[in-house]
Amino acid sequence: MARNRLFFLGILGLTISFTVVVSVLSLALGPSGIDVVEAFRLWMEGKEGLGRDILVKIRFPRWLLGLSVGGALSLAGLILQSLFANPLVEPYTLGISGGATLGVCIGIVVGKWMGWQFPLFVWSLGGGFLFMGILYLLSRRRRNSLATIYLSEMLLLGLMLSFLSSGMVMFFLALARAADLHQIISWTMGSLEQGRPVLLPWIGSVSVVGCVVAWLLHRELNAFLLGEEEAFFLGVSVEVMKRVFFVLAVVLTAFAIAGAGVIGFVGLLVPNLYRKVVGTNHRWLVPLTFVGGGGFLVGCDLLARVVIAPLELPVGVITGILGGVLFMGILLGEKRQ
Amino acid sequence: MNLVDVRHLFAGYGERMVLKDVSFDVQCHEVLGVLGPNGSGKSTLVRVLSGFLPFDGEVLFEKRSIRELERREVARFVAVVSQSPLRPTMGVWEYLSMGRYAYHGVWDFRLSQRERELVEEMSERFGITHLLYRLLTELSGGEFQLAQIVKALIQQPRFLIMDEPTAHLDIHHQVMILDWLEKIKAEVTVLVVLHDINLAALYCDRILLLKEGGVEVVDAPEKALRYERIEKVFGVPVVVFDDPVAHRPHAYLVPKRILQQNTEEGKNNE
Repeated sequence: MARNRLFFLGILGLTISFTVVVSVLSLALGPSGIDVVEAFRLWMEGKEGLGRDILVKIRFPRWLLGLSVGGALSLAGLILQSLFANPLVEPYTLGISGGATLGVCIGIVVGKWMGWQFPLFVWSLGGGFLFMGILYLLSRRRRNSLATIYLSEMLLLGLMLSFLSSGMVMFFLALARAADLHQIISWTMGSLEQGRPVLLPWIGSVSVVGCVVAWLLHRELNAFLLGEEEAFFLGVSVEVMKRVFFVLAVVLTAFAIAGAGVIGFVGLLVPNLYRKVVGTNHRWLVPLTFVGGGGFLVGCDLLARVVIAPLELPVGVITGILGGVLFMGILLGEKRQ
Repeated sequence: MNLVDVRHLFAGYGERMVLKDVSFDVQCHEVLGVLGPNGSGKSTLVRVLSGFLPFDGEVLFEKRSIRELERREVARFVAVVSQSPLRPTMGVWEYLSMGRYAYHGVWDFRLSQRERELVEEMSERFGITHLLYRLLTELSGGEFQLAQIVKALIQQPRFLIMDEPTAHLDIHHQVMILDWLEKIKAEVTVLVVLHDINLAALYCDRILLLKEGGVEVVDAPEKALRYERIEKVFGVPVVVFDDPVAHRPHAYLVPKRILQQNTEEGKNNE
């Protein structure tokens, strides 16, 4: 049964409420022992001091990074899944994340040797675009062929690119100096702790702009769900739109990886979860996935901080475990239906 | 008057040329049936006429080359009911309203009141109003085929292309879909790809018979569907007789086994 507007608004309300709750908890909980009430009081009073510094300089940027990265990764996953009309596609399975991670590794290891002082997101963007370029060149073959195995070819190529990037990352790990080694390893595990304040406004802006662009193009995303050819018959400029969506997915993924390292499953789980609940209309899916993805990552980060407190787990560990279990649940549920 | 002119068309996939020097025209308000064996270029022709596949030669829509037209302009002229599109878990109303895509810009994505009425009117006309609030995945094959046709008509095209609209349907739904062709041809010109020679003879004004990527004949069913031509194109023996009810040619297949038996019996009688 198709859903009505009230249903979508209800789900949006629930998503915003969940995100607000995990955000408040994320801002209020931490090893320093500043609790919810204390954090709120410090915020309102605006007095200088250690407590306020913890709140403003540590917890707030971390929360904002979580929201932005979660939103960006979920949105990138949603865009790619719609573009390929396949729910199993995401930046990781297509190798974009691998490319971005490889770019960051090259930036850390080779960049330092050669004295190239580019910001990490430039390396990350470079790697992501390189791998996406290879995939895009392959996708252009489709128009002139009748290959129905095109999608599986793309997925296989994406997986191969992921393996290639993993191998290359290992190679650079072997070459890296001890000081860089830790940075690269913590990067590959994914953490919101290492968020750089300089990058934060960039990541936040890119995520929000990405969400607005994706929402404006929601009809094109809807059309791609019917397949590339059907979208074309409706009047969509398929090649132009494919380029726009590829670029959007790469930019969102690259900035997320530059800010928080490799965080898996967010781009796979969140869009699939919302697609199960609200269907495939991107007019609703885009904002829901963006807000829900941000809330999900902030929630995972919260868990990463409290599970073995006062020690902390990398957030990638939590998203991997939680995401894997939830995704299997979705698949099993589908099979039962 | 010709709505579509195709002149010396060559098209294919990479090195493999499927359509070779194809020329024909489609006249206003006719139903042109395209017949041919598998691999003769029927679906390739659909892809070329919709602008999806690059080609050499000329395709003119009301004397204007398809190459001169913007993507949305092409979609306002020609709508396609394709053979097996994906069926996402999308609401039928949403799906139908996507037919209006070509009439909107990036900033103007809300359907007007008139367009909403058009979706409702078309759904009512085709008897699918009760399906409007269902999901595409909940529809039967026939219902989905109807929804596809309604979506294509909501696109308000001058030219409607249907690629095997009766494939996988039972005879009730085949006849239902093709009956609609007769009703809509006053508003829209139709090119329909069919596999069933007899359905094509019954419902089409003219037949375009393709063989190995070339045009064998374009003519009225009575002239196009002669037994020697069908045997030549499809490589099977057939008997064609005049249908006493519809007064159209009707072909029936003669299995080789029966043909051999008859030949042997004939020899014995001699």
